[in-house]
Amino acid sequence: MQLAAGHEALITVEEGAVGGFGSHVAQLLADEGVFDRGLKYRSMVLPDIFIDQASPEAMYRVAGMEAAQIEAKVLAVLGVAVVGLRA
Amino acid sequence: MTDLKTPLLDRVNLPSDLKGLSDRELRQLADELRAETISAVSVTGGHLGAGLGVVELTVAIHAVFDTPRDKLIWDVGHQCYPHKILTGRRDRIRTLRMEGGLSGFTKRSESPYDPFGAAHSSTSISAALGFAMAAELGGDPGDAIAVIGDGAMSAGMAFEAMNNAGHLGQRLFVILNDNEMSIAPPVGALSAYLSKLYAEAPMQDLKQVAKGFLGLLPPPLQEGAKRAKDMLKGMAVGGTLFESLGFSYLGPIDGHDLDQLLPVLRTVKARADGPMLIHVLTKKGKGYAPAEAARDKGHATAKFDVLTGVQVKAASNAPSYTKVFAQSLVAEAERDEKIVAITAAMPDGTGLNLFQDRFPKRCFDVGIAEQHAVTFSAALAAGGMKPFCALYSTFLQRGYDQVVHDVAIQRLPVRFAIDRAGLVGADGATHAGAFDVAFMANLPGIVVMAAADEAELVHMVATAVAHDAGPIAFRFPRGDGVGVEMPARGVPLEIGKGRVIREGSRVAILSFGTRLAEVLKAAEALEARGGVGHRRRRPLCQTPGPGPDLAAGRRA
Ligand SMILES: Cc1ncc(C[n+]2csc(CCOP(=O)(O)OP(=O)(O)O)c2C)c(N)n1
Repeated sequence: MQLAAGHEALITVEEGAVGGFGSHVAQLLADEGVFDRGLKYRSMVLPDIFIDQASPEAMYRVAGMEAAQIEAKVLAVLGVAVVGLRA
Repeated sequence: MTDLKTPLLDRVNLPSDLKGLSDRELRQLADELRAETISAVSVTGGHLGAGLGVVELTVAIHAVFDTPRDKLIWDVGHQCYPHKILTGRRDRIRTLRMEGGLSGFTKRSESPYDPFGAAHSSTSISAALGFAMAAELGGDPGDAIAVIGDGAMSAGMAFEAMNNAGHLGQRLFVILNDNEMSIAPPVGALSAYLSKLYAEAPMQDLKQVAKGFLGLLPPPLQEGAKRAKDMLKGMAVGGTLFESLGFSYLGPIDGHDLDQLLPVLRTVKARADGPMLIHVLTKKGKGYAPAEAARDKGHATAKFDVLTGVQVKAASNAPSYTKVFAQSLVAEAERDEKIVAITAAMPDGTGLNLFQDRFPKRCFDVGIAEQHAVTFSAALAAGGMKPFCALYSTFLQRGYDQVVHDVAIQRLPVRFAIDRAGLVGADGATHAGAFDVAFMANLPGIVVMAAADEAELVHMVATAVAHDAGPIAFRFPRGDGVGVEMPARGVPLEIGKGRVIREGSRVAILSFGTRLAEVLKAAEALEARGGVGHRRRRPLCQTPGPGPDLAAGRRA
């Protein structure tokens, strides 16, 4: 909560499908009315597909959860141009 | 093997190409198929031992039955590489388990010769029965054949299916591929029973018997179905367990001898009129000395040199999460004799072999039986022990009702060590540990943690030992840690508390688990850009206790 209060945006990251950690955080923030005050919130979870075999790194790239993609998410949530970044 | 010569195999693209071959040629084909399998896996790595054990069986089934009209279902599917080579996929066999390549398991979307995908075990008899009933009811015609290992046969699901099949009485073939191995040596009373079956009637030589039956053709169109069944029964000895379940039992026969496999399969194909269990004895890793000699009989291997069998393994400077878990648990168990450990047929995969070596009486390999593992753990907890139920995320799925009904509702302090959490690589979607947080954390009263690095894992093991108020789970990924300094001993973490790793101002990133390393990289890149403040925490997640708890849990 403190974390949410002190920041303009909050992003969760987890190696799991929707319904996990990020969903619990969102539920709590919603219950506490934090979104009413305009917190920007994003949750990075595994996408809604079954990802085919590859190296784990490549699979996480497909999932959009590599460092560069996390970076892009941060910039996007702040509305900073993401030109030149792989999303 | 550059000098690999496979003249017969080169002429086979699909199983229909086997139909013109003599039995002698089929024997040669099997030898070529074995060499090709070894050669392919040496390039890709993967499941070697199981496939080598079913080379002759694969040839025999495809020579006798009429796939893909007949539905051939490989249990687990890890033994299907020879099958893939014979079913139009030889040209891609050296892409096994690679990105964009062939799956290491059977997969419906890959080929009509894979009528039912697998990767988790013990589903094949249920699937075969479904196909058999669909055919009966006017759906896709054809016979249904399940090939299931002695390990996979130990799971409850296999028995549920046999129970149902025996009741329905539909024609169905179950080939029990008995190699006296699971990944580890199989455990349990069923395994002992199977050994007894062939100790009493060593190997049957069914050649003559089978030929004799064939000599009686042309049956059994007019002949009473009962008579055909009795004849098949005459070939069997023992097998009372299967007979009691309504199957005709036949065997055990030598699964590497095509002179037996072919006539037996031809006979049952011609005569069977109900569920049939054919007990076949094979050797895991058959025909490749390094696999036969390996502790796991070449169950899974990295790429290797065909001549020496030496595997290529990448060096690492951090211990694997699995090993860190196992060593931490052993260390805790030295101090607390209530700690016990449970694995479902994966002592090596979960690291519990270390625990087993140190505390043989406190370690339970229950067989491929995740549901049982969870309920068994629940009652161990109810009985005052501290059970660590160590399962892969993907296999925990099978024990879900047990997690809800036996553990969570009763608030029993089972400690779930969830290995292979997250995406796992070459085993693909069937093995992804994607759902455990979602399906565990939504349960009232459970604590779910995710280690961000191997040092945290040590502390989470200690936390789980200390947490006796209800169930607790901690997840960690496949592979090696990130190389952080390791604590001398684990210290229980405060539940619901995160760790601030960097301070920033505008964006807060909450990382749960080992993505932390990527998050940190992202943070560095952002800092280099300037202007974007951020901070990161790796919180523990305490899920819905009563409301206030939850809030406190999040507050960090
Ligand atoms: C539900 C489930 N639990 C665990 C596993 C991991 N696993 C893969 S193969 C295997 C052993 C199978 O032994 P068996 O059926 O005898 O076949 P073999 O490898 O000996 O041919 C295990 C435990 C799995 N695939 N599915």
